Amino acid sequence: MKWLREVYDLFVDDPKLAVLSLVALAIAFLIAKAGAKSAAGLAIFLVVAGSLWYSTRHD
Amino acid sequence: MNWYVLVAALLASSVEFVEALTIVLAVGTVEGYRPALRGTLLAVLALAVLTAILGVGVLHYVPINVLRGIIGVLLLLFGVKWLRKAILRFSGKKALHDEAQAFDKEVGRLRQNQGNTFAAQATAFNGVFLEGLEVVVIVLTMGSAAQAYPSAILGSAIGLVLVLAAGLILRAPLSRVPENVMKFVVGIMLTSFGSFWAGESLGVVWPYQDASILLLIAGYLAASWLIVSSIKRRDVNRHEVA
Repeated sequence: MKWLREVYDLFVDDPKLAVLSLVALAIAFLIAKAGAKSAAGLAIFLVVAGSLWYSTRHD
Repeated sequence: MNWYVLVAALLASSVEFVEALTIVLAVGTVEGYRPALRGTLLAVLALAVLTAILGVGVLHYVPINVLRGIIGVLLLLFGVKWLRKAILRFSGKKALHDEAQAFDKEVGRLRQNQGNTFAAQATAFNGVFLEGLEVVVIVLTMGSAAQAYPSAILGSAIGLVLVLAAGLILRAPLSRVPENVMKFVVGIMLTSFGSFWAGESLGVVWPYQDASILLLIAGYLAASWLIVSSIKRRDVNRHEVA
């Protein structure tokens, strides 16, 4: 299972930040489904930037 | 030629090649270049097999929209990881990466096991394989999502040639390469590409199509700059209060 850990470490440093990035995509998906397809892109940017802010200030 | 992909692959691969070179040079310095080069060659072969299997599998069996979604998510995770580290380094919360220091640390560790050529070869193999794996991820993900394999491979190959040439000339770790700045730029590019492709596969319509990538790059750059300055300001205020 060591290789699995290596693959995980390749993509994830701060698990909270990784989860928040996935949440950003989930929110964008819901917004796009609701019809606001252009606003969904802005949601990704805002949530990812906000997550970076949260993750780095609480390190 | 997709210039976004070429530049991103060139910068990201160069950073990884510099780190791999430091490890190979450390092994070569302590145990000689034979085990260092043997470990490197084996790692390159292992990576070539892995890339061929993954590349063929990915290209032939996964539809492009699904592929962009998966790759977008992976690139976004990869990008925010790099960007977070870069922000912490530039705000002074994490030490800047120093190749000369990394080289000394590796040499010190190898000297404790001096005479064990198998361990030296394994160190070179692990270093090149792990750093190379990141290059494979970057080339495969960016190449397939943008359907721009030649640009991704060319960018990475230019990076390899530049780093190898500098390494051969200097025969020392490339501590003058602005690695921290490059990591910052790459983190921003990967996060922007990841946001773009993952969003597109989830139904997001980006204004101005591909040009939105430039808007995302500018946006993440501005956000990162704001975060770095706010952390620095907060730390100064804390020092003043203390």
